[in-house]
Amino acid sequence: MKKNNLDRRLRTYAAVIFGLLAILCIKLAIVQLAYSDVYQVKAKENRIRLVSIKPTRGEIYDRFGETLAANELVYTLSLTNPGKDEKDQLVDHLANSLQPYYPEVTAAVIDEKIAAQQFRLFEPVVIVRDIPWELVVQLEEDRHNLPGVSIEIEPLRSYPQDALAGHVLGYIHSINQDELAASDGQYNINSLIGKSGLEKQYEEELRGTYGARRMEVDAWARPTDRELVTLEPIPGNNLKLTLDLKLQKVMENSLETNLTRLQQKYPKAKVGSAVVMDVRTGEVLAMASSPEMRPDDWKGNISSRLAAYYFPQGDGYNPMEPGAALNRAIQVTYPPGSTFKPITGMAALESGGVSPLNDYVNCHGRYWIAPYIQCTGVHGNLNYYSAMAKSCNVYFQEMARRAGKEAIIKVAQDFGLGQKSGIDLPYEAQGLVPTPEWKRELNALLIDRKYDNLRQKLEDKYEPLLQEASPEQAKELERKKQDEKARLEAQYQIDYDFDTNWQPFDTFNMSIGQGANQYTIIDLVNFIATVANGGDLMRPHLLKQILSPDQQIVKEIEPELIRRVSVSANTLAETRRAMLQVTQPGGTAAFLFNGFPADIKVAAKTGTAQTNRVGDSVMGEFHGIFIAFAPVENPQVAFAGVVEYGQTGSDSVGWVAKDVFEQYFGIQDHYSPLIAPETDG
Amino acid sequence: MNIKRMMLIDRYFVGVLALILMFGLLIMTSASSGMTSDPYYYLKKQAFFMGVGIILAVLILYFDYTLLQQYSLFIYGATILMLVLVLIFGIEVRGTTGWISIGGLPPLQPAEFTKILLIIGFADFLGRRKGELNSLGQPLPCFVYMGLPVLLILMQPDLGTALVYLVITVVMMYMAGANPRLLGGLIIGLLGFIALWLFLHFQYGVWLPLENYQISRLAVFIDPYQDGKGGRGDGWNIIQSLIAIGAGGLTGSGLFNGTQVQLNFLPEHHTDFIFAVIGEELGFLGASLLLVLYALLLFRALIISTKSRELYGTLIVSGIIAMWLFHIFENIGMCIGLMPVTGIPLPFVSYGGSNMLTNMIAVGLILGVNLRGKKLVF
Repeated sequence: MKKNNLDRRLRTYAAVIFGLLAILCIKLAIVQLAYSDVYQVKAKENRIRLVSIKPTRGEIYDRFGETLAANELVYTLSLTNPGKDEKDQLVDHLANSLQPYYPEVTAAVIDEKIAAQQFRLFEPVVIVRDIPWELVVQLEEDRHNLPGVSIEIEPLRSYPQDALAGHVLGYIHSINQDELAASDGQYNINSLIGKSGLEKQYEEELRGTYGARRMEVDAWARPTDRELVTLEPIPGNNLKLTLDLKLQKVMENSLETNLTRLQQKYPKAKVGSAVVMDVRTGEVLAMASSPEMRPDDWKGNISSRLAAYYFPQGDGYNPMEPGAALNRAIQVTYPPGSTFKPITGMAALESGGVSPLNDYVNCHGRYWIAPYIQCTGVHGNLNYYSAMAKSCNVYFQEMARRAGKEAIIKVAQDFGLGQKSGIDLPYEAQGLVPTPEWKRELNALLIDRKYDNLRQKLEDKYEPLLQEASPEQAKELERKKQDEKARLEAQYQIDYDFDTNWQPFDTFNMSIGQGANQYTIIDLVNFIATVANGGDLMRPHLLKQILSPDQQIVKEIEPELIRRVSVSANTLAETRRAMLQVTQPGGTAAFLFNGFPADIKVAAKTGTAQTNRVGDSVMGEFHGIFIAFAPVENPQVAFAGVVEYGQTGSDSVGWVAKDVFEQYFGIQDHYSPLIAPETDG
Repeated sequence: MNIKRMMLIDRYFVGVLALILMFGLLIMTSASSGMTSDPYYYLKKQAFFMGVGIILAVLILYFDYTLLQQYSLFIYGATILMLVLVLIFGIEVRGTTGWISIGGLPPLQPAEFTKILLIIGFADFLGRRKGELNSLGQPLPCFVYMGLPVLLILMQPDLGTALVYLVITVVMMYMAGANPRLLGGLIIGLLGFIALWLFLHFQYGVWLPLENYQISRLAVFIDPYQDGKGGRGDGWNIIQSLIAIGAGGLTGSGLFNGTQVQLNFLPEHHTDFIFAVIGEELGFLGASLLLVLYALLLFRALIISTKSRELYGTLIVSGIIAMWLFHIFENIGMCIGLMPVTGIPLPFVSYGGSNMLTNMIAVGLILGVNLRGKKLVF
């Protein structure tokens, strides 16, 4: 009995032993057999790290292969796997060492960079790129105090031509959080990305493909000596542009020289831009914008001095501190002034039945219909040719009256005005051709706002009076209020009808390029190129070829026709002939081109436009605009340019057109003198 | 002891034990290889203690264990003295004052050896009270007897080892004939009390006689990622151990190839978490083989306990089985997320001299009971 009792207890004990071990075995089977895949992935995530290898950015060349943007090897200072314990001390010491060179890189800045990357600390944290050699030496000597600090050589963007075509090339800078979030996974926190110009436009071509080093790390994120796989980075594609480096340099220099000259008389003349285009293909040969932009300025952090140079400070626009970041050729719109007159002329020739030779208009100083806009002089009898040469306001207002607003608007829009040209640059601004619909929409809004204000004022005026008044007085007041209200509403109706409807003076203003006309320089050059080439509106472009890293042609950019304008060949020919008169004796730009050979005649149009800017004098301050093409018989290149506050088109940016044409046609070599001092020094 | 008696030795027990020891040395080779400049440093030390342990076991099996009954009181006194001394002179390692260093000898963990001493003492204590363990009051002296050392260990504080003592107490009392309902009631009552206390602590912040790290270990047992550091704090060990074992799959990655182990994602992989190394490098096949070997070892020990000529031997072996069983279940259970993390080593496999010597002394005692037991076949 007692023995059986012990046996029973032993059996129970055995059952407990096997039961517990069986539980272990079952759980073990679940973990190792059923969920093995899950845990294998987790084990891999533990030890496998992908470290990206930066690709070399594609280079950019001018149309003849001259390098505009390249890469140079620089020393980049990074921190690798900063340990937890000694981190603060290390960061402080590093910040102290950097102090004389980079005062803005404080310990806090370094900590921020480390924190931004806290889950990828096996990748180097880039602290400063492109450090000077003296600092490299100093840090190397101090190596034992700076564990984890590494100096590596990496390719970094450089611009061998300095500020040349800076706005066109654009710049690259550290990617920001938004860009990183919106990107396609081709970037990391240390990436640089194109921020403006072609660097931004063709980012996907230029950037290349990151390589990767798949490596194994241990529990402390230290790489093991087993590097599993390396995938080499693929360099970005190279870009060959339509730009001509020599022409670009001549144009930039000429613009700069003329701005400096003009500033003696007009201190506000600080901004200018110009574009030269091949009229047959839409290829942009040169594009300049002043004040200049140096892409290299954006290498590191932007100092406050540079920020003030690139971005207008304070509220409102100050012409004395215009900010250099904008590419004035595409990002700003200007009233075209008289350069719009060929549009008015073509509209009259097309729809008004006007004969360019035989229909005369008599100019006696101002137009005979309200608002009696003044002319540039007293011109007497003028036909299309002489009116263009003298830029006669009376003639073109009369042409506008005969053609009608619709015809002018149609021609303007046909030539691409008021539309984005579609040039391959980011942030292109859109101009405006004023139309009755546009006017109605804008002014209905303005007038309603104005009268809502007046109505509220009326209520505000009577409310306190009514409250204090006795019943009889109140009755009287109520009657007065209703009277006043009725008068206000009647006035509103009159104003509304007048302001929202197209008035004859709107047509007159538009015909001479004033009023609400606003166009970019690229729009103007494209318009005049279309006149020159016989009516083909081409898409302007800067890219000529995409080349692979080993310089094989990946893609050739073909000229792209946007549309053929509906203006007749004859009208275009007459307009070209009229514009030729501008540079002939008696024309407004005759003094610029009188030295040109007979086989390279220039057609042009000058413009002097009211700035329409708040604070500017309406009758005293003008932008100078100039458009031109040459040779008139067989047009090859077109030019458009502006000098803000240049007062006249011909005496400001007209000189730039002259220099550029002289260079292009080999009349005078402006380029060699520019590079001569460099070869001497 | 004559040769004829030696023939009675349980060959299965010895054979299975030999396999487990070899298994342990094999996995130690891989588990400790990358830890020191000498890749065999830990292996050599472990093998040394194993050798010493085997000699000890042989010496003990020649000694007639029944003679120990005379010294029960002395053994108990020595146990209590050692536990008090370790509290006074002990070295603190990871929050527990469990180690003591005598002269130039390597530090020892008295709580390991006292397990055996207590089993021997308690077996005699229980034997004298045979048949007097049925009422509520009768087992009380037993609880006092075992309660004192448990309290001293809790003061180190070493929760895991204290639990081992409790399990040993309950199992030995059961084998000595204590009323199962009474024992069961006590266990359930104790568990319920602990559960209630824990609940009150986590819910209402009631004070708990545990160090913060121990409370945290309990909390991460529920969800290892809720350690306040997204699984990089106290939950890390459990997570990495599970990953290691799971990644091993059926056949494992092979010795020296477990990335969790060799790249140190798995901490303590030569001591407390050595089972995860087996799971990762030898897979389910290797891990379950070890479980089968343990099952056979415990089963053979149980057989030996039944053949003892007196209750004293039966109780000693039962106590040792209880000790091993709890060590195995707690250690492996912790590695696969069944049990909370405690510092309980895996018998014969985890690195550690005190543990190895203790277990080999236990082997000597079991074989002593075996050789003096009833003959199986004549």
